[in-house]
Amino acid sequence: MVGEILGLGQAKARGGSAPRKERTMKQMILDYIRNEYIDDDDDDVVLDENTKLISGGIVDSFSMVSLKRFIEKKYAISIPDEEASPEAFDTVNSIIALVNRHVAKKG
Amino acid sequence: MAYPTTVKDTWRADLDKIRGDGLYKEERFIHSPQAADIMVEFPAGAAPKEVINLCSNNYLGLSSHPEVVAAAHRGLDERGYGMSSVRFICGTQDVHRTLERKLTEFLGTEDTILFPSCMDANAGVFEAILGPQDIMISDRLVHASIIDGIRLAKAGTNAIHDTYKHSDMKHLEQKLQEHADKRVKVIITDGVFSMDGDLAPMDEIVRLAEQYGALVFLDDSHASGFIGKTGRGTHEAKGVFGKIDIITTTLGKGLGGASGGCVSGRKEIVELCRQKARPYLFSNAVPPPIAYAAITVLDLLSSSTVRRDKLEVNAKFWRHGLIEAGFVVKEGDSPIVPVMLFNAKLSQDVSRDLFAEGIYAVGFFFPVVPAGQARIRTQMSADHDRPMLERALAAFKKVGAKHGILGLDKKGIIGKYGQ
Repeated sequence: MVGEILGLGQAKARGGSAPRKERTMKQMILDYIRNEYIDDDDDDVVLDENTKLISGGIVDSFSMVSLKRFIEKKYAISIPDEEASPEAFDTVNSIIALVNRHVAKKG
Repeated sequence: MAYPTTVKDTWRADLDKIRGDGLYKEERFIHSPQAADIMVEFPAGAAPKEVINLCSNNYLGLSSHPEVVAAAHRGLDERGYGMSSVRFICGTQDVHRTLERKLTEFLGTEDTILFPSCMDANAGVFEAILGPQDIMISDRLVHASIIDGIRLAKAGTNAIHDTYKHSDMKHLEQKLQEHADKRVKVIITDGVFSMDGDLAPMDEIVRLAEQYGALVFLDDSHASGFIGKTGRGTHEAKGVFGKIDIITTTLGKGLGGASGGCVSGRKEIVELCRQKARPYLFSNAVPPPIAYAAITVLDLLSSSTVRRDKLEVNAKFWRHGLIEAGFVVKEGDSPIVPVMLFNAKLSQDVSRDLFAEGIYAVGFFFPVVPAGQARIRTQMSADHDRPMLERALAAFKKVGAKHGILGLDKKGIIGKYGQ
């Protein structure tokens, strides 16, 4: 079940590994952030898994809600509001850690 | 009476952090009525100095207008100083209903309810009308009071919330499609955005709202009285007057400058606010002198467009002058003209140097505006005359030259000062 949620089944079938799984999730979240939060004509923003999203002013904490909703839907998890802090959503890496925790909890 | 040292120290540390982050707000004391030129004591204790005011919301110059002041005096004499009551107990006078009727007519809606401020109107309206089946879809740059109102509605009613990129109609349409199953969908926008001075594309918003069965909410605080040919607001400017479901606006800017605000719109929405909006139910009625003065303001503006016309001319002159001088100015079509400096410290330095030259204009930087978007926000008034604006322009050029930013574009300024 966990493997399915993370696309792990596919990765395993192709002989993939955990890093590949992480890359997939990372790419998906990065793509979402790029489409959802960055203006089409904004060429100044450099975006990777360590980019500060909220403290760096790319995603404001008020608009973070759509990112949370996207992740919850995509990975069939529910992140309680108290865990959806600006710190937890400040980088793609910290988001991945949060998602993985919840997916593991689901078992 | 218990005020433990630990608590006191915590709050002192909070204040020190605000100071340390360069975000501490110092108030400047004005020793004159609000006007295009004012006497300002700054820093505290200094002798008051005459400066040209480029940072007030006194767009139409009505804050100290003799007819408005006289109307407030009349209100004081005829209906007293205050109501000592909320509206629904014993706080509603005939003049409150008169003002509400006049606002309805001016804004082109079905009915209006007064609030102590537009901040209160925005804080109260969503919670009063929405439920858990409903969605609020707001522009990412809406005013802080709308954000508070949305938060209250989320907490109080479990209504859902989403945002769209600033004035990005493609993104708004995506959101309307994504939330098509919701009972009530409200598109929420400012008319004129207070930090950038640009106008929301109300015509396109109304078109999308009609297509997807959504309501339109417009906060026209920085537009009422002067945007549009007869000053009715952004909906007039964009050709959709009479088509907005909810308008909130303030009596504290163009419409007189004192205080008070309103929700104006569909009858049922206004009626629900009268029954359920907490800032309305639990705050005193707008004081009679303000109600009298606001009625006079609306009468003045309905009988002549002279003041909004002069404001428009001033804004064009000012914007053109700054661009010609070599400043980077945000595009727009309103009396809000932001001079972009990108660097927070530079914006503070320029503001300080302008004050030394007799110009009062404030620097804005993160978190008030996005990081790397620091600026001096200038605001025109119908009370500015041409010699004043020429003096102000000369001061801007002098200070701009001192900092070596004239003629530099965004990259040039960031290259010199960082972001």
